[in-house]
Parts: sequence; C-alpha cells; structure tokens
Amino acid sequence: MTKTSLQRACAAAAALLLGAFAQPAGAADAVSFRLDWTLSGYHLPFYWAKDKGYYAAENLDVEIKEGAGSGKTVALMAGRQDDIGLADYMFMSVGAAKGMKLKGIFGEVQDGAWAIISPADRPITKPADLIGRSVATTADHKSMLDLLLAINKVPPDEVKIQVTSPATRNTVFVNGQVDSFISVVIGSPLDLVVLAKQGKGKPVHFMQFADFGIAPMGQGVIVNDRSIVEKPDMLRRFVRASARALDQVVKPANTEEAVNAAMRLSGAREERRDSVKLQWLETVPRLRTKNTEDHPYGWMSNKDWAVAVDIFMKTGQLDKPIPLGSLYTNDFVPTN
Amino acid sequence: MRKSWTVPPKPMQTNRSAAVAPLAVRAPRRRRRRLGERAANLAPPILVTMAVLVIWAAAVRIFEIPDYLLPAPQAVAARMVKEWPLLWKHGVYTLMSVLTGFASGVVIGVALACAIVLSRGMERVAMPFLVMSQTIPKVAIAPILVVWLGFGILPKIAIVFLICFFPIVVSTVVGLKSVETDMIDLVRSMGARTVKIMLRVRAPSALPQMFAGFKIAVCLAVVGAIVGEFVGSDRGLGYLLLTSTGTLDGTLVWSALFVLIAMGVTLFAIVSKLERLAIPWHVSVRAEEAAMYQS
Repeated sequence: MTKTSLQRACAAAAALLLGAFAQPAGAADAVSFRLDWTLSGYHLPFYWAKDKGYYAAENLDVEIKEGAGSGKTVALMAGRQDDIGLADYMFMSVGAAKGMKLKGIFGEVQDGAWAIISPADRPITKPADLIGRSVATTADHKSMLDLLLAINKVPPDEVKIQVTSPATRNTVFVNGQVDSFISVVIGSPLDLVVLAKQGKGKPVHFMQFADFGIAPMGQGVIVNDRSIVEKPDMLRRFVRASARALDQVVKPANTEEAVNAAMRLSGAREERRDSVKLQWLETVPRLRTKNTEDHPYGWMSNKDWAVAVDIFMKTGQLDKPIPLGSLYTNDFVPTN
Repeated sequence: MRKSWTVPPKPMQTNRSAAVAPLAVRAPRRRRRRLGERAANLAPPILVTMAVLVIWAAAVRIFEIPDYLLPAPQAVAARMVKEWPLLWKHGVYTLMSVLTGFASGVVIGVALACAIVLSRGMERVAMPFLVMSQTIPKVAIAPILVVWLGFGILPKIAIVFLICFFPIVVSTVVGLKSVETDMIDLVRSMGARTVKIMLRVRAPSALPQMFAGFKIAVCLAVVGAIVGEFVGSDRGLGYLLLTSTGTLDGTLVWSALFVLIAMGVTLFAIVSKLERLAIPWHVSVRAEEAAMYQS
C-alpha cells in the first residue's frame, strides 16, 4: 500500500468515525419530561403534542416519563435529573423556599383541586368532621392536610392521620381501614367514582379544599433556574407546542382521540380509560381562574400566586415570604 | 545436669499474708490495665467519628449545600436536643416493634431449627419454604400486610419477624448440626435421650453460630420496622422520616436517622454482651479478651 493511499484510507476511517458520533445539522433536541404521576387526565395535552408531532415540529425529541408524586418530581428537577417537569406548584413553592432553584413556566391547572374523599354514606362534609376519625395520606400530601387543619383550626392531635404508601392508600380506604383520604380530585379518586358507576364500588363524597379557605395553585410545568439561563429557546419551543396541544385538547370533539393517544403512548391499563377521561373533564374547568380567564392557557396571575404563598405563611409552613418573581414566569407562555 | 528455666520459677509462699498480698496488689492493677485497654480501643473510632463530623461541617459550609440535601452536623445536633421528646416518643414505638419481632423470630426460629435438625422430613418440607420466603422482597410484601393487618403495630412486627427469622433459623441449624457424631453416639450409649442430647450437647455447641445469627438479625430487625412504617403508620421513626422528607425538613430527617443508628448499634452491643456472658469459653470471646489483656 502506498503512503498516499494509506493517508486516504485513514482520512476516510476518521470521517466515518466522526460521522457516527456527530449529530447531523438540525437534529432534534432531546428533552426528558418528567410527569408527576402515572397517567392522569391532565397529562392528555402533553401526550397529544407528542402524538400529533407538535414537539417534533419544534425540533424537540420529547421523552415523557411517568412520575411518583410531585414531591419526587420536584426533587428530581432540583437535581437536574430531567430537563422539564410537571408538578404541583404548592410542592414546588415549598421546595423553592428551602433553596431549590425551580420556577413554574406554564401553569396548566390553575385551580388546585384538593379534597378529602370519604364514603358517601358516612361523608366528611367539613374539616371539623375529621375530629375522631381517620384519614390516609401519602407523605407528600401530608403538608396539604396540615394546611387544611391549620386554616380551619382543627387540632391535628384529634385526627388520626395514617401515612401510607401511594400503593396502599386507595386500597385501605376501600377496605374500610380508614374513614377518608386526601388527594387531588383530578387524579386517582375518580377511579373510585368510575367503579361506583359500574356498580363495582361504593359512591364517594368529595369535600373540596376550595370551600374551606384553601385555593391553591395546581399542576404546571417546572424547570430548574439554570435551564432558563442555558436553554431558553428549548423551553420556549416546548411550552409553545404544549400550549398548542392544550388549545386542541380542550375542544370536546377531541376528547376521545386525546384519551386514545394518551392510553396508547403511556401503556396504561385499559381499565383506566373511563377514569382518565373523567379526570380530564374535571380538569377543564380548572385550567384558568377568574384572574386569568382573559389570558392564554398557561399564563399565571400574580394574585393567584400571592394567595398560594399567603396560605403557607399563615400556617407557618414558610418561615419568610418568597418573592413571587422567584416562583414563576410568564416569559415562555405564547401571547397568541 | 544444669536446669534451664524458660519461665523463672515462682518463689515459695512461706506465710499466708505473703500469699494473699500479691493477689490483693494484682487485682486493682488488672482493673486499671483493663480500663486503659478499653479506653485505647475506643479512641480510634471516636477520633474517626470526630474527623467525619468536622469534614461534614466543612463540606456543608464550603460547598454551600442546602439544608434539605445535607444539613450541618451542628444543626442536626441542635434539632435533636430541641425535638428530643418527639424523637423519644417515635423511637419507643419503633423499638417495641423491633424487640417484639426479634424476640418472636428467636423463639420461633430456634424452635423450627430444632425441629429441622431432629426430623429429616421436617427439613425436606421446611427448608424450601424458608428459602422462598426469604427471596420475597419485604418491601413488596409490606403493603399487603398493611392491607391484611391494618395500621397498628402488628404489620410492623410481622415484617420484623419475616426479615430476621431466616438468619436465625439458618445459623441455629448449622450450629446444631455441627456437633461431632462421635459425641452424640457416646452420650446416646450412656442412655441419653433426644431431648437431653439436644439440651446438653447440641445446644451448647450451637451457641456461637446462634449468636452470630442473632447479631445479624437484630440489625435487620431495625430495617424491617422502618420498612413497615414506611408503608403505613401513624407513628414511629419511619413515619417521622417519611413526613419530614415530604416537607424537606433535613435536620429532622437526619435526627431520626441518628436515633435509628444509635438504636441499631445499641441492640447489636447488647447481643454481643449476652454472647460474651453465654459463651465465655468460645475461642472468639477468649481471643478478644486475650487481645485486651496483652501488655
């Protein structure tokens, strides 16, 4: 082999090797998107965006990952284990107060739907009814229960609070081992409503937190502050695609198709279909508050955030006020 | 022939007081030496612990680690002092499930081990189920136990029992079987019955292995109690860990962890002490004592 042909062969090999590792120009940005839970109704817009290619159109390759509670998603985002997260903004606020560098950039569910769920034949209709009775809560949700008791001046020592794992909470309620449990309405409690409608379970009663002084923020997209500095364009494209999807999924004519897409992409069990659909239908009225009804979906109001932070201050869950500007930004929400 | 002495002979004792005096002088000297040796043995772990605490405090300060991730040790200490009644209340609950589950594991485990040793049929039936029970992750079975048994202390005791039962049975079986068959044949030829052989020959020989199993089991018992409380509880150190993690209360998390560590270490030390009392003749105990008294 001559020297020249050897040089050409080496150059070709080097080009092949580089080509194997180098991304072609215009390759999609890989995005890891961590949800707060297993498939729930309010996740439909994100699965729609993936299914319809809205993320791909924005040059994003989004991997949607299921979560194990807002608390865990908030912790993962604080450690930058994922690029973007979806979590309850009340948990994010507590994390931010403890030093986590997190911010909400798209408030999907703005009217937080917390409730105490109890059997319809022995309902908990007001917080005082909890005295002498038991309530199951996961560790993440206990702080919301503490808020309810504190705001309504119910001594926590007189309520039997059972902390359970997420896997056992609904089961111990159905088995009658606890009188009630606390949860977000637009989540797994609607599984029980569906079962009752199908004649496979007993009807349940929802005591909404909003009726008793707690109107918290709900679920929204969260990012680490460093991502806002390092990847603002990626975040803007993600929010734009998600907002476009939300605009489509809220149309009643698209509900079935959105549920189908979410069920298919998430691999959820078929038995959950009716519950997921019901969860979405319960979510739609909560996408905006009276302070944001004239704005695009996802746009958040300072007044709503101030109410949420005030709840924490009144009940001592926050030591000092947090500047609202450190908790959220509307910079990424499309204006049209 | 000239005698050579490798050890100088002791002088003859001609009167009683001379015979007593050296003994009276030796006893306090031995006690002082024992205390000195103990202090020398404790110094390295204490120094290492202090070094770890200093490095921990420095790292938190230098790298500005947030409280919810890793609080400073002095903050944890202050919180432990402040929340001592709370830690005590929850610690006692966890300790109850640990001790009850562990004691149940010892009683039932040793009894089952005796049955396995005495009966080949029992061994063939029980051992596969024992191994199967051990391969089931306790984290997976804990929610089922909570659903079956409720939120009280019973599911926690059940999980502690399940987690420490296996090492107790296995170590006891190995110990009971380790007696030489010649010894068994000898006492049997003297008319000893099965029960007497078990109590007078097998059991004393099995004690070293049994205590090895007990020491492993007592540490696992603490883990089992926490697993049970993680799944469903309204009190206990596991409950405290869960709820304080949920509110990102770093100092309370670490306070509860330190109480748990202290509980595990203390229980291990108690079992070790019982071992020294029960088998002072065993080579492991004698070697430890000899190492302590070597000048």
